[in-house]
Amino acid sequence: MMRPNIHTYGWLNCLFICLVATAAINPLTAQDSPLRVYMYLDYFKTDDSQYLQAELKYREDGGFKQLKGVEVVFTMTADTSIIDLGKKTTTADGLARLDLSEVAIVADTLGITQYEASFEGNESYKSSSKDIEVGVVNISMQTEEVDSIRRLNIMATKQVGGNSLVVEDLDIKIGIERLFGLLTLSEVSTDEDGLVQFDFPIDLPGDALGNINVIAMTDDDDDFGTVKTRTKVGWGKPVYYHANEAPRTLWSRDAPLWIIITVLFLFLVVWYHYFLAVNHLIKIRKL
Amino acid sequence: MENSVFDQLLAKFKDPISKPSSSWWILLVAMLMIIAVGLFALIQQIVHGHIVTGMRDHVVWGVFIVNFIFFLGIGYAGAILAGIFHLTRLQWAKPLHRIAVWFSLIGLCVGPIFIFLCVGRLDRIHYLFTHARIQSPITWDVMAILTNLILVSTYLYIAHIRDFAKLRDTDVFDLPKWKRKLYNKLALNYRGTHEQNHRLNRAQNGLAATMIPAAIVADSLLAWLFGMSLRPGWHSTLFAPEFILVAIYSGVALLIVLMWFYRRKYQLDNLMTNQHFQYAGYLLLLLCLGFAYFTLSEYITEWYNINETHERWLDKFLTIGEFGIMSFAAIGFAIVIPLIILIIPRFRNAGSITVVSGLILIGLWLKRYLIIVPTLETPHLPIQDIRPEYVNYQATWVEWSLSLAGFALGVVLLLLLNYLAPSIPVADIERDDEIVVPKPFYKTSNE
Amino acid sequence: MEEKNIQGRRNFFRKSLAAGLMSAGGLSVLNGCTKETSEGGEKIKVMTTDGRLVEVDSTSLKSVSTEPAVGAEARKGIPGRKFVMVIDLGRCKNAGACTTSCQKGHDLAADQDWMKILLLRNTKETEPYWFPKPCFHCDNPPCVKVCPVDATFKRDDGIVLVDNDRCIGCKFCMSACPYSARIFNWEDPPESEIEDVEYSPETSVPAKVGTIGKCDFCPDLSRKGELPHCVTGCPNGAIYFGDANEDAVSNGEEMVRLQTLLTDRSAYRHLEELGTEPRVYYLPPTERMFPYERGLEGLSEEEMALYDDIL
Repeated sequence: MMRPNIHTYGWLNCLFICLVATAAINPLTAQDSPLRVYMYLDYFKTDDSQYLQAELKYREDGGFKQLKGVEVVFTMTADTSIIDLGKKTTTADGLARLDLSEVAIVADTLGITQYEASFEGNESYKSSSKDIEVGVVNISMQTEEVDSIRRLNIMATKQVGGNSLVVEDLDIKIGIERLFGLLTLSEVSTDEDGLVQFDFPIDLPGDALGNINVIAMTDDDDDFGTVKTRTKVGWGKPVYYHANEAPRTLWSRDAPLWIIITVLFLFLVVWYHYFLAVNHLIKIRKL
Repeated sequence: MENSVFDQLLAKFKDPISKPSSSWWILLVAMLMIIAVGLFALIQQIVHGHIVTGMRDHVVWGVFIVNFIFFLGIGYAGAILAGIFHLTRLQWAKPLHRIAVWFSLIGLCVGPIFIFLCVGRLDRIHYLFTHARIQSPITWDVMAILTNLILVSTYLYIAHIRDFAKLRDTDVFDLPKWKRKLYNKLALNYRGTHEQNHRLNRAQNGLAATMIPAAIVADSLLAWLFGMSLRPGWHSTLFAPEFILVAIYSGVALLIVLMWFYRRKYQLDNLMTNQHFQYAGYLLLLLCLGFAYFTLSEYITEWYNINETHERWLDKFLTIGEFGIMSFAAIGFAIVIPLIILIIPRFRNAGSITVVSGLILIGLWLKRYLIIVPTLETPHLPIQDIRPEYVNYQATWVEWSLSLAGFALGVVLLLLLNYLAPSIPVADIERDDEIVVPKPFYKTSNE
Repeated sequence: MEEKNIQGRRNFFRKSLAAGLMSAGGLSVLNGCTKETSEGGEKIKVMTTDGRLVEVDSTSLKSVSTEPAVGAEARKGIPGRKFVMVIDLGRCKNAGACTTSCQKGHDLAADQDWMKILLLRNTKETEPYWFPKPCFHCDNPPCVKVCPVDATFKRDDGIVLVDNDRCIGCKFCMSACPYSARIFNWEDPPESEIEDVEYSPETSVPAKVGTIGKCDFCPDLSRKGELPHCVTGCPNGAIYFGDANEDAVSNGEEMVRLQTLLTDRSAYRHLEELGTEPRVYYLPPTERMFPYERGLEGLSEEEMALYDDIL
């Protein structure tokens, strides 16, 4: 139950008085100074896409609000040259996403690229920028089934200077897709060969065909961002979903037959006798 | 035409059939005024929503449903009593038959109004038919009430045909032309020929025999509105029989009150003798014992099978601040006082039996209140709400004025029925006198 | 579309992907199986991985709309789902955030609690505990049994909803519900910020005077892959929600297997003996994050008085 609180009103009153006073003293500065903008920049890579995503927020009334409809400029730095990647406008959720799949990514000798996102600011919001350094890691996942053991073989590699190198000690999260997100099955790390194995549980429900989407991913890794691979495998227990066609129960649309029969029977008996009586009345009139 | 003893009897009903007296008019106008206040309250309820009543999320139905049960109880009891009186050809009960039919119709007309008052969207009331779910006890109740209403109105009509014929032909008092015409239509050309007589009897027998089980089923369905829920205090197999017994109990009490009133109004002392009061008193005593038995049975089984919610529920009946006074009043009015008066022959006379009957009616209304409100105030999960009106039910003026309007409507209907026909079946008594009873006791003077 | 599932909770707050889902036109329940719908029949024969031939209901292969269903569609339920809620009593401190976020999400007045937090105590010797109470969406629902006009109904996805275009306001379901989960719109609903939305039983918005309202398990959010308002609103992750068919529930922070959670924490259903088969499970307050007194802090004398019988 929300009830008005005298302190709330008191505080609001003070605020109001201050605002009025400020406005009265100096109308030119009555407008609020630009708000500080908080920017987050993340790198994402999936099997068929990679992109940068900037998220812009500002503080208001003690909480964060998404900053929508502003332009964010993305750049890539390699060695000393700065390459302009383009501009994106933030969505209603304060997100600006730049697709990297068509971009020729330039990396340094260690395979690392520096990205920057910047917002130049306007009269309401201050400027803000954020940069990250990420390398490109490839996670591959193979499924194998040996003697009723279902196993995932995961391997992490990276490209440095045209060579493929294994990535060791990479934290990888293994999970399956669910309606409300990822059900994590295990968190593992790659060995010195960039490999890790995981024995898949046998009792997970899949879809009607028993299919499960298995995910292996890094979760916002410091060096590689969020990289995930996904594969569909028929390792789940099939969940047969039967739309129950009009069950006859007390709680469904259609009544159990015995109720219908009883009610109809009572109804017919009563109305049969009723019409007998009415019939007598009609005859009386004619006599 | 010979001015027979029956014509003299009919002549007693000159007021209001021929010419309503000023007291009839005054009563009618007074009742209409009460109804007008009720209509005003109804408008408030429709315009502002149910917020103007005392009903809230826990006590979702209040005195409206109490009245609903009370009036339907009377309606069903009237049908059962009239049916039994007719089928058993109970001679002493003959003069009471019409009163029973009358209040049966009144109960069945007024009762459903109160259930409509509980409905939040009256504009969608036709969904009860167009989207009916037969599993719902409400659907059963809709069917049962409608069926009984039609059965009772038709039965009432049949039971009046001989009197309509008599009124059509009588010259003991003047009738307005339209009324004479109305009786002519209503009497269905009935002239008392052998075949007409036979067919009328067949029709009335058939309807009476249908009406009794129909009323019993319908009153059980009424009980199951509550019995089918999982609430402590309602979820009881005892509920349907108890409802039927309580209904008949209230019906007999009302019959006695009306009998006393009509005897006085029309000087019917030789048709409604003290012996009648004694007989009705015995019936009342029997029903009183039955009611006491049910009440004891209800509470004692709850008491022995107590869990936390049942305990909270039962405690409310014994706590003065809660429903203590009301439950003691209900038991006092409907059990203790009737037992004392009805068992001891010295206390038993027409006056005392009538007073006791009045008390029983009040007690049984309170009993219905105790069935509804304490149970709704005691759900399985505790009510933790800082809004007091959501915790304890308190009827508002809207509910009280609409309740009063309901009772006033009952009186209006009674006045109108009185205006239509005598409150005793004059022609039936005349006919029985000729055919069945060689020397009826009611011809000898009283005492 | 994929990211949504991968990013888990973070993306619930960055709704970009939900928007992406909507633009994609639908979220496939069974990824990759949508092509089979071309078969068109009622049942489809498919081969499982272990070589068995099974029949699958064609409806389970349809993709799900992300828009709230209206009319007859709202009575069917989201194909293939069986929604379930698990409430960890050890994590509740009567913060009331579930109630208020529910009210915000359903455009309710401040005194209309679809999610209500009670203080319960099992015996005098045991500690009291806070008990968030939504609608239990029973599998044997007493409320639905008694509805005379089919205004409240049980869907195939386990959810019990109310159709406010059908409800006549007889309140019979309220008296039938043993958990007092239903509330009535006693007066005209307050002026709404949400304007001109089409009514859907899945959103329960806008409310209508003279009809019943109650917790709806937010199926409109489930269609978008989002958790109910109470779940995301709870600061302590006390409320888990998910699809029992997937054996997974999430409180917005972590997703766990339903069976494991229920077994490991000795889950129970409230008033099981009534036979209503609730779809809401409770985890006993064995591992308390807070002493129950935390929930009493800052309450007015009036509010404290509510718990006189308990404390």
